[in-house]
Amino acid sequence: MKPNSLLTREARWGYLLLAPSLLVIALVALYPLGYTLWLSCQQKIIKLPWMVEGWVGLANYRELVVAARFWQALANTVMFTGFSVALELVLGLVAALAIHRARVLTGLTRAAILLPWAIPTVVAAVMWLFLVNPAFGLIPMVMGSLGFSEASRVLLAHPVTAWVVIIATDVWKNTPFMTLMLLAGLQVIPEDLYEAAAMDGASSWQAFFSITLPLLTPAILVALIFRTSQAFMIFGHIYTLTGGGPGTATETLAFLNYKAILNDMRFGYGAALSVLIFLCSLTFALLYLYTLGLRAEEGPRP
Amino acid sequence: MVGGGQRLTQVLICFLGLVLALWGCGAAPPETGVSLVLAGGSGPEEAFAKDQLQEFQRLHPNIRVTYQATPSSASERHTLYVTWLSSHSPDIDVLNLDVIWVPEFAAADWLLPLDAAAAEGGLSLDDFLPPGLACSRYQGRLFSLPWFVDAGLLYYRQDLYAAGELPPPRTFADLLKVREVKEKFGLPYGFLFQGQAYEGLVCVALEFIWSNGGAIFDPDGNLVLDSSRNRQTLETLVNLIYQEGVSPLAVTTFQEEDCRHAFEQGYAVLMRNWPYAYPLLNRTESRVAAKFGVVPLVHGSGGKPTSCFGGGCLGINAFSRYPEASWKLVQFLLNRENLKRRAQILGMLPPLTSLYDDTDLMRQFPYLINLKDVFINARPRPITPLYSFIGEILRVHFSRALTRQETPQEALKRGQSEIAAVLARFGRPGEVR
Repeated sequence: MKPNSLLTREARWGYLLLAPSLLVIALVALYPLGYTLWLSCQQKIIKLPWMVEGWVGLANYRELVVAARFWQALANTVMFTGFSVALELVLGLVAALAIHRARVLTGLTRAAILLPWAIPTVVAAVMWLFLVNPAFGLIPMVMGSLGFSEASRVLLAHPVTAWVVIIATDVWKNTPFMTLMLLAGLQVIPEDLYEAAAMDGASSWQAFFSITLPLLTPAILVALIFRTSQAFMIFGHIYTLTGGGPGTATETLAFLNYKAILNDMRFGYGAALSVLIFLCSLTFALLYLYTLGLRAEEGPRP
Repeated sequence: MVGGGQRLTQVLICFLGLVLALWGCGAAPPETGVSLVLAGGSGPEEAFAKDQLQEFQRLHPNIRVTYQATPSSASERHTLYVTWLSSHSPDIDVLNLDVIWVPEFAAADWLLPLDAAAAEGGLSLDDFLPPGLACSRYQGRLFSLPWFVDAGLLYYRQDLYAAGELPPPRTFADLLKVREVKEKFGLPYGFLFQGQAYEGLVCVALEFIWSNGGAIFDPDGNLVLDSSRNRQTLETLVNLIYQEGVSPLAVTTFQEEDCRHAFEQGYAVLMRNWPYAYPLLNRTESRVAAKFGVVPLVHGSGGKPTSCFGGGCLGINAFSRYPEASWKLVQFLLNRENLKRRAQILGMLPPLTSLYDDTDLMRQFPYLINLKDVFINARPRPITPLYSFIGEILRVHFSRALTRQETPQEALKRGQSEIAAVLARFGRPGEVR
């Protein structure tokens, strides 16, 4: 009985200490979320005051799920997130392993690799806009000397190549973030594990797959959750590079959300879209936690 | 613990005191008469407006006017205005509005009707350019007055046309000859226009449609976007890129400045753009300075050259505390002398027909001498509070047609049904269509 009551007292004290932070979380996270949920069931179009405001139930959601533009944007967003995050993970891992092994100029390399990440999204997108400008951009010029036709050099005019440019911009900008997260993960893996493995005759591939990767999983997990939820809300690149075009070919959910709220001023409809984006992000996060989290628990412990 | 609690109370009291002290900082000093706020653009516009406001305050010592600079980006300024007006804020009195916002704000009862004030005299409405007045009216009532105007123009390389002994292009058919000029002089581009998926493309496509005798709404207000004539026009526009070799595919990624840069570098024979490009193309660093001319847009066999009308108006907030003083300010800003000075200093073209015969102004903008009719005959985009919804639908389908994701026929058909749905769903009850 005695240790148990001690535990409850300790637990009560713990909850008390936690209370302020829980309150802050409730204020900054749960309240806006609840408000958005409530708003998503309203009709509220502030620039059309004759459209009566009020409760419309799930009508906004119903309108969304029958809109072809919504499904196109959802497919685009998932496609973009998949490609850019996968590329960032692979490139980031390679870069992190290389930097981790480097013994000279470590500070300088780390600063240099972080540079693209420190550039604001819109500035980065404008730089890429110059690079792909069909009249004087570097990339079309190189493509021209390689024999590509004039039409194929207008990268932002075709849906597929427009997406390649958008994904390239994102990978260029966000791989450093991935590198940094993975580098931090690499640095906490004890060196003696590798020494032991080497003594047991393990090849460096075996060491990588049996030591590095399993022990890096928590860092990978965190980096993936961050990057996936960010990539899922991609807006700045689209707004700057293509404006959603050609047609609606490069529209994403966040871009549609911007259109609904700032162009149409349809706050209820926009809120419904926000809720769906939130649910998608949440699903990704849970999926990662479930699949990678389980593996991390099964893996060896230092 | 008790001491901590006391300290906490002291900190809280200090904090509250600080909040209260700061609260007063933004408040206006005690009022000694009328105080107005004029909201408009920033940059050179702001500097010039402030000069004008000083003169206004000298003429009206009991009226104080402050200038509220707002974002230059139209969509951001629109958001800001809607936020102010939808909350019935009286803090802004006179607003510089884009012409396409007037019906939207008027239908929402956010703008003061100006008919009575204008009828009392002081301003002669007859001298305003007709499309400007049309944009300022909604359902027959006047809700704003034009401040400056904009219309699509055709820039062409005078030197190349003269060398080829060709007259500047006038018709759709003349456009096709641009390819020869381009090839003869080895230029990479023929005819440039704004073709990215944005409002600029809507203006260009509407100009082609109107200049071939087509329309979106007929004079009775019926939606006639999906007509065989419009289909022909849109096909003509699309074929410029894919069949005639007149326009490069690059135009589908171009906005105004992309066109202007390429034309300025001497890459193109022809360019559709707004008047703002004229002084820039004539700067010394421009490769085409004094080598280009400006003419009205090309037209099809079914119509006459029709430019898209744009520009800015002045309107009065319906919730203003000082409607009469606000009207005095509007009258002052719109008097002939002030409009002329604004055109001379800012290069923004004036809304008064008579100023296009003014010798000083024509000396400064010689290309305008033959373009008076362009401004008189320019056409506003559909005047309806739902324009932003309609413009969005047109933007998407014109862009899809231009990048061959839809045929012109599909684009017009889908555009028509989507616009019809928007009108049915969001239209103001009782609005005459």
